[in-house]
Amino acid sequence: MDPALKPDADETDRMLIQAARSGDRRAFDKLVTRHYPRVYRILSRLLGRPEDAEDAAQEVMIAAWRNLPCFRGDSAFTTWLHSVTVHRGYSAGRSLFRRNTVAMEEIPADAVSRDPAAGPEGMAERHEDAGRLRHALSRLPEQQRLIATLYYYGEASCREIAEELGIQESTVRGQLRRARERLRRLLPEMQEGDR
Amino acid sequence: MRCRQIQQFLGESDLESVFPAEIEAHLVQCPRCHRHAQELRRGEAWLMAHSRSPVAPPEMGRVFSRLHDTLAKPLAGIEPNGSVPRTSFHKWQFRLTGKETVMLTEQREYAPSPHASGIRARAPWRWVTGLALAVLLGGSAGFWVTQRRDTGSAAANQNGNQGVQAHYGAYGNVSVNRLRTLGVALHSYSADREEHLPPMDDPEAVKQALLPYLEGKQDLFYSPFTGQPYAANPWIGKLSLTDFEFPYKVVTFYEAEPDPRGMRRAAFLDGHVQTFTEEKWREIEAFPGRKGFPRLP
Repeated sequence: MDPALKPDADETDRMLIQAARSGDRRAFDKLVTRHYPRVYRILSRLLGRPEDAEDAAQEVMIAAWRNLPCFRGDSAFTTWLHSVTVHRGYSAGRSLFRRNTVAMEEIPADAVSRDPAAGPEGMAERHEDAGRLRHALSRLPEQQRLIATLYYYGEASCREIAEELGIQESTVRGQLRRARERLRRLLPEMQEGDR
Repeated sequence: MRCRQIQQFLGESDLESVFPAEIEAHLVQCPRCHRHAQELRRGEAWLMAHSRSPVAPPEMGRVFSRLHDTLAKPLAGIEPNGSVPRTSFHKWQFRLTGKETVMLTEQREYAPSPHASGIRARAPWRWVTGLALAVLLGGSAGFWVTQRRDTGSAAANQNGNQGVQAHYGAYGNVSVNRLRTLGVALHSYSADREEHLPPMDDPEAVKQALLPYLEGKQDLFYSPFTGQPYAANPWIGKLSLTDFEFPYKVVTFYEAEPDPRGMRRAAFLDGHVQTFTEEKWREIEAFPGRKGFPRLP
């Protein structure tokens, strides 16, 4: 990666957005460098296949560029970006869930290396469980879904989520607790623990 | 600490970390809380195992090359930096006065949506075709104008006056937006009150409860079609959000009267808003998943 695209720590999102809005493509590239890895990680885990995740992440970034002129800055850029990412991830994942059967080539290659002892059936089962989890998450209220997705798929801590969404950490913890309670009701297999 | 407080603490804590000594001591003594903690840990382990799969970091060079390729192709009507040139347009406003339709026009400046250019380009063709048909069939023939919600373009029209149809379409959009805003306010209210809904059987009480979350905008409580307040589902008042198994099936607010086209809009507990025909509306239950509740009026 071009070292010039690495954003400085003291360059805030707000500064980069201001520069990008006035047509500075390099400032936008810095924003992409800063946020793309997280967006890609969430989408990759939600959608499974790296190609789907790349396409979806690309769409999120293009949406960000196109909507910069309308971005008023009332909320943090990350709040908006993560909302778009999560929404995009679930809408793309919905079509995957509707297909009940899983083709072997659709299972990510790294799933094999993760659990070689599981065998093809175990892998398919695990893949289906991941699809059920995604479907259950998509049935949560919007804020709970966003927070749970950032926590589990984005590997963000409660404090990080609170900072990114501009809410209190206690609110994040409360919403996460309610999300877990609801997921337990929607996914009885959670009680059996990890297989 | 009481068991309830302990269980709430467990639910909100990082289950992989070590709990404070006071909590651990309680867990040793109380089998119920101990079992609860174990269930939570099992569930958390399942969630982690199925969500946090390893992800190879993206190749940023390829990402930028794809991104720059796409952004290099400007959409029609969009400047290379993504901004949209300002254009003037005529704002068409229709007002129903009894049986008459009064059409008012004014010229305004606006920045159109990036997707509007194609629609505008096709608009003259529609107008010409529509007018020709209207003349040929003595004003009784309809012509189609595609409804585009995101651009606020002209409404579809099969019979009768295009202005009235556009009016209904625009008011429909206003109503949908108001209901959606009420749904968001309802969730904000419940988030501040341990997920409990406000009393929904008294319209004035609902209004007073939600107004602080709507910046005091009172017009959001009224249907643009009739001017009457939206009806609230009285059966769900004061309940907790966790009481609902199917939040996407539970109506929160709805238009008390159908619009002149016989359509009715309703907001649901998960935040979405749906438009129903009267026939479909009669199938909606006040409290899906529980027996003994009547259908909504």
